[in-house]
Amino acid sequence: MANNKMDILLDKVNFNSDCRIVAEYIINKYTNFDLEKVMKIAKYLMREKKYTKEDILTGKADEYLAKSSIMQTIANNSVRQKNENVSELKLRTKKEKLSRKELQALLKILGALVLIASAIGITYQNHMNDYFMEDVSDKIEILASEMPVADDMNYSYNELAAEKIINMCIENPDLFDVLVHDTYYKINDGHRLDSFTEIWNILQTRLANDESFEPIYSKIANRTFLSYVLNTLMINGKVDQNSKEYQKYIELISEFAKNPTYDAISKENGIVLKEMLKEYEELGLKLYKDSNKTITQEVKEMGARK
Amino acid sequence: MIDVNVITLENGKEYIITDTIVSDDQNKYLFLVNKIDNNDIMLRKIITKDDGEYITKLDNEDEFEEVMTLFVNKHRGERNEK
Repeated sequence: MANNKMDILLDKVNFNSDCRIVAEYIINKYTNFDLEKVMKIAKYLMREKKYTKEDILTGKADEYLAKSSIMQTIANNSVRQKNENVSELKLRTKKEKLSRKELQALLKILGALVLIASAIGITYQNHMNDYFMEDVSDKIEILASEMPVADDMNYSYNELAAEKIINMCIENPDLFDVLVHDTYYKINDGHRLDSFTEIWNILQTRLANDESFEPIYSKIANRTFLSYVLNTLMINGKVDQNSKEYQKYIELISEFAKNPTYDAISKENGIVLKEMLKEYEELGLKLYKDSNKTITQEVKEMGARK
Repeated sequence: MIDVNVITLENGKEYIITDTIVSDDQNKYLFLVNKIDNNDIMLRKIITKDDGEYITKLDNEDEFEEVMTLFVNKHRGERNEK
């Protein structure tokens, strides 16, 4: 099985040993969950449902897991998979006649699914996302605590933290996406804002000067990039969370999430994109792409096509 | 006998439209059950274009969860009444 891959992923979010064992149990028993979902379910069972590792390994959560697995199968049938082209089919229906008994059987299926969705708490995804974020924060804190005292007095604690984060991101570009959102949450509740602001400032400097970020930018989604820009605007007081601009930027990022290509952006959001980048440039910052062209310029050119 | 609507999906299989729901942002979703294999269940979204309505997959699992929540809420009352 993909244990090596799972090990890498679990290490990234600092799963404790119990959660790791539970995750392995789930992934070996239910193959239709992806790795991230397995981690989230393990966390959910242990934190929200208060199952112990022994409970889960002795099958006490199997009913929950089986129901989640059914729901996952339906989700997989329903959702466009990564790299799958958008496939649209002209809606054509035909009438057929069913007996009352057949119709009742169908409605029972619907009813059963509703019961399953209720039983597993269909909104549990949101909780699990929180846990996932929480784990990344834990990981960062542990990284920070493990860092040696710098010999070079000019090399600050936060620079070391930024360095560690950069290395984590280079190994796993997806983590960059998570870190962006993690920072976003921290800004929202004001928790450890100073530390994160400084770390992000250092990251920006590295983005501007270090070619090691090039492969990351070639892999991460545009949504991540724009989330990063929005975070920077918020950190620098250019955008207020309660403002109309903020809502427009969120809608823009949301559109990118659905179809992450600049060419697919709507005309309205093309204008919003230009506004957003103008605000960003007014901060006197630039994002590295190559020595002659910044990412900001590249995006601006793409936005200008609209 | 009762009339139901049946559609053929991209996999060539026929599905019965068992339920329909419209979200707050006016997206229309279908709850589909395979005519032959009742374990084959899925949701689909209807999008409207100039030349008519098209059926497509959901964008991501977040959307799936949102739609399932709508179905749960729609039918919660029915379950309580029983």
